[in-house]
Amino acid sequence: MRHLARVHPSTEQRRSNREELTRFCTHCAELFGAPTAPADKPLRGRVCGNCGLGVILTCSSATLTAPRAAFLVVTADLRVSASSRAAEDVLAIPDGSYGRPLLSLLTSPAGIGELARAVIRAANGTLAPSTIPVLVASKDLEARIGGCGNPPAALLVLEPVAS
Amino acid sequence: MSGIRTNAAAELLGVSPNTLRSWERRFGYPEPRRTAGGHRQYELGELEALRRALLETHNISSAIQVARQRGEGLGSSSRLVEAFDRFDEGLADRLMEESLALRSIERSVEELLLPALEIAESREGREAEYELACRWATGWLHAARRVCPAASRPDGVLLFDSSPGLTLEGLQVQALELGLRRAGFRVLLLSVGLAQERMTRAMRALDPTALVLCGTGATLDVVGRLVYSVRQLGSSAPLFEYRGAMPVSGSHNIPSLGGTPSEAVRNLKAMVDGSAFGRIAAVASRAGSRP
Ligand SMILES: [Zn+2]
Repeated sequence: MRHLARVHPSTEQRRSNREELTRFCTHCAELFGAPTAPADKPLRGRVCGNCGLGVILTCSSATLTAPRAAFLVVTADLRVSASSRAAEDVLAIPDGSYGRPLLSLLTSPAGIGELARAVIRAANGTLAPSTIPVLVASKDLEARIGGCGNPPAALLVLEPVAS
Repeated sequence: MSGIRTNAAAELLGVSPNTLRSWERRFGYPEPRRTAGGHRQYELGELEALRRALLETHNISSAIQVARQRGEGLGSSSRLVEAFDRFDEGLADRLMEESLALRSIERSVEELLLPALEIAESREGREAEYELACRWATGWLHAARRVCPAASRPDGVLLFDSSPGLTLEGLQVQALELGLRRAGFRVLLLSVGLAQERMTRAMRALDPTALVLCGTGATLDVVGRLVYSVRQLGSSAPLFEYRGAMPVSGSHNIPSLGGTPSEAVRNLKAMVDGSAFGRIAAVASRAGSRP
């Protein structure tokens, strides 16, 4: 199992992580490739130069496979700490309404216990994603849930149910 | 306090001047004063608050909200940075003493000393000021450590440090050591790269209840060798990491004690004192046996 202990890997790990990790903007959801910033300059490139409204986090590229996805960033206490522009459209939540409980926005036919477990596992550092069905505004979707950071959180990528 | 011009402010936050101006239009923060010539001048305190908040949050509007809420409280670390900029260790000492009149050593370290060092570290072209800040902070933490009361707990904590000398990262480890001592733990701080035969007497003397990896300089190989050595010496103490000390790659399940000295001390106390310790220790022990 892979964990996101810190998002700026040391030089030795950088090459092997290049294929596996990707940086993304929490607002416009652009992808920026694998982390390259040195660990001693954490603020370099922290803010998205594309939109200026999101911060750059890192996740497994298996969780976030394409740019401009609809996703939520959720902390281990199950509160939404960021949402991509596309997710704001899907969920009809305005920018700035952060801190609201995840379960006030979506539920899961698999049970909210299952959903909460997947989110907490990811928020505690498990990078590899798991997929769970979710119900969002009466729409059946799938959430791919993997760890991201820093600070550590779960990334819930909302997608149509795979047929 | 003199204001900071737009380009320097943007540099401090790692953004473009345009982004900084767009935040002012959209959020009204950071809010610069205007000079007689119409140039923007930002307050170091606001920039510092925002800089820290950007690292702690997941989007800009939350960061700005957090920075605003902190407001005045952060002014004092700006003053400490000004003391570094003047190479005035006496002033730095006085600011810490002022802080200690109002709050605990732990809070003074976490709300004043370490944030000031974060700012000092982040600035290009201010390496001399940063070095002075690190040397002064090392001295201050050592002095505080010397007046710690004797250990009041039977539990020993062995810290393995992989941080480079004279850096903010190393000072975060020293701050943890201070916090643990003040919480009554017996503490020993050793280099992560120490060979097994050099560790034997230290392990025997401390008989640690917990082992903590600190600093971000260790590779998985080094961590693996360390855990192997510790287990060879017969210790089954659980292994934790502090401030993301585990390298990101590879298979591990080492629990984190958190990102600040007080959080790590709180977690360690709760684990040692409470029932959670057995469960977490078991997880850590299993992780330690397969580095
Ligand atoms: Zn963006």
